[in-house]
Amino acid sequence: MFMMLIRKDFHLQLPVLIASGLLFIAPTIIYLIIDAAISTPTTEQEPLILALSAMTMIGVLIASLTIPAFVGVAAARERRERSAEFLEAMPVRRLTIVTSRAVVALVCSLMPAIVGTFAMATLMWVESGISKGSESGTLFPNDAGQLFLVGFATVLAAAGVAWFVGSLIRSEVLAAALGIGVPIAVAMATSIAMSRMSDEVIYRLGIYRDGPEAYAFAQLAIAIPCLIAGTIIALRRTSP
Amino acid sequence: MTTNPSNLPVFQQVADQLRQKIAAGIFRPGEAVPSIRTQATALHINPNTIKRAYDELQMEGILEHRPGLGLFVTAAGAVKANTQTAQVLLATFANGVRIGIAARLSKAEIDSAYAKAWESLTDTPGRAIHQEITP
Amino acid sequence: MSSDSAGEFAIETLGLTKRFKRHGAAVVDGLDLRVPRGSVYGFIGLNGAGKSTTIRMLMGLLRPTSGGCQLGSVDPHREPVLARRGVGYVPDRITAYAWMRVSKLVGFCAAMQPRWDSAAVGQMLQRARIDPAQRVGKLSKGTAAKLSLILALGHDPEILILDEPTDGLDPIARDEFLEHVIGSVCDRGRTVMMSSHSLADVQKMADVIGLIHEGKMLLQARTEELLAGTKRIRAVLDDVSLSTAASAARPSALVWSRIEGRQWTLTVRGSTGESVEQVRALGAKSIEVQDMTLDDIFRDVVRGHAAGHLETHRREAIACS
Repeated sequence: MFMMLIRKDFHLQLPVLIASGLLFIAPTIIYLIIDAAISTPTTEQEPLILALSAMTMIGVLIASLTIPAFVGVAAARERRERSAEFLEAMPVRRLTIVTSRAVVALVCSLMPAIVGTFAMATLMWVESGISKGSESGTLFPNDAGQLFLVGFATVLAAAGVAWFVGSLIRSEVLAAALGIGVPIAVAMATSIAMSRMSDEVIYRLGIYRDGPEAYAFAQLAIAIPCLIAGTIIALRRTSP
Repeated sequence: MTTNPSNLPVFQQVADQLRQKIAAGIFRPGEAVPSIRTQATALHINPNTIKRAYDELQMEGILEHRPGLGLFVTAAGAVKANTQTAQVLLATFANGVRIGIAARLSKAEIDSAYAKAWESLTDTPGRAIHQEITP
Repeated sequence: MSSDSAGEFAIETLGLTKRFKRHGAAVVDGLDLRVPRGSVYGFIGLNGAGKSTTIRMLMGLLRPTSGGCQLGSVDPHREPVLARRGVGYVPDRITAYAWMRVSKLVGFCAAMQPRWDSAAVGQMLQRARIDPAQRVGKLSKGTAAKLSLILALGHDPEILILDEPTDGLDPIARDEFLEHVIGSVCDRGRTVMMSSHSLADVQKMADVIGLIHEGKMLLQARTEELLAGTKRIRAVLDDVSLSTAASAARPSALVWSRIEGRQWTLTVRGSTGESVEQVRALGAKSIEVQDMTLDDIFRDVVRGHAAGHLETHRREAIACS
């Protein structure tokens, strides 16, 4: 029974899966080809490498935007199409139905997450190779772990907002859009807050002014309540 | 108290209709009548209602139940159906008379209407008119 | 409510109430509904009377504001999964995945139900001439309705709940659908609860009628008793008795009455003989008593309720020349 639900949920995610895949293909393939062709970049090739890195970053970012789309579909599509009513009339527990949707959304999101992480890591490796030769400083902080923490928290916030909005409104598009917009807004708000806060407050909070902790905390502060609220609503609410 | 025939209880209409069919020779003595299930699904009527109609016809001796085979028209079924149909006819005629009285027609006018009706139907011998329950 | 497993009623509600806004009007108001086991129950009412809301509460899809209900002696809100196992539900329009093929949908439903008779379902699909390769979204209304019914019967439930299943179907499709419903009742002792606007069908098919109006159950009776006990009395009044009839006491079993010219039409339920005597006592001439169809009774009950059992003095022009 659960596998039947999983198959149904994967079918529902097909449009987003295809879009996500297409968004990845171009930049990632190009990057991997270049990466294979040039092992140690010369100073002439630097700008090209950086340009390609930028393209890959954009591709990765755009593809990561599909994560809230997966979650939005999982939360809202069946309610919009009214097939949620059909499912709810079955002798199946709500928990099973919601779990299947969440699991499929998670698995679908792993693809952009994994490829994105891989692309980012390769990028950092390339960039560190370039910066060994120059003295202008690095694009990325040395602590890659903290960077990934911020990235993960942001993705979690995106998924959480999409999950919560999707459980309230019958629009996966709106859910995905808010899942993209809200974390960006939160990041910008954090940045502004950081620049306005005095050194003393920052010291007391135990964070670094230019460090990633504040951003990570802010995103998690959005992500966790949204995920919890969204799940509760999904389990209790019945279609009109 | 008089009643409008088309508003009779459904089981009554089903019983009358089948009785008329037997009287008309559509189902002959010894032949099977449609099963309750067949009638119920064809006419979209509750099977209990059909059963009630069939029970009435069994009580009148028009139908008999053969175990394992179903319901059949009895040997005397056609004759009995004729007699019963005459009773039903009474109600129909009474309805016509009632309409006449309410419209303040005289007995002579009502009788003449009956005679005209008989003429119009019997000028082509053997032509019968059925009023059936439509699904 | 009875809680023994072989209860007299397959479906029961007690004081079932649903309010969508905290201080809004109750869409379902203290409903006491009783469907006897093995019967066909005709659930009738105007649009917006609360039929669908009641059915959704019975299926555990909507939480009642107050009151309770039982489906085959199981509370659908405490044990929704168990309750739904014994019920086949046909909603008013097919809501299943439009992108699935019929065969896939059947397989999906089979996986969701613990009991499923694939052979019987296959036969029913064949008889209904439904192409298993067709996509559900592309089916005609009539075919989709038949498919919904077949899917609802696949796990051989004891109870079948149909929410306005013939709404919007063409006459042939309606006939075929109802044939299948009756067929399923003949096959085994099923309890069927059917909400419908087609009163002619309900009159023929239902053992028990429940009339819901503005969320309340106005009447709930065996079809036969209702039809036998409700009569329309037509009396002709002369100008003298007309005025007395207007102000005199109403017959006690009055459902609805109106005056048109010199004709006084009233619908009475129960004790028809007494009502006739009362009308005669008021000076009416040429009294006539008629049987009524369910359609007639329904209209008069609803109108009578709206008028608060008061007589409407509509003195239409006697001669419209």
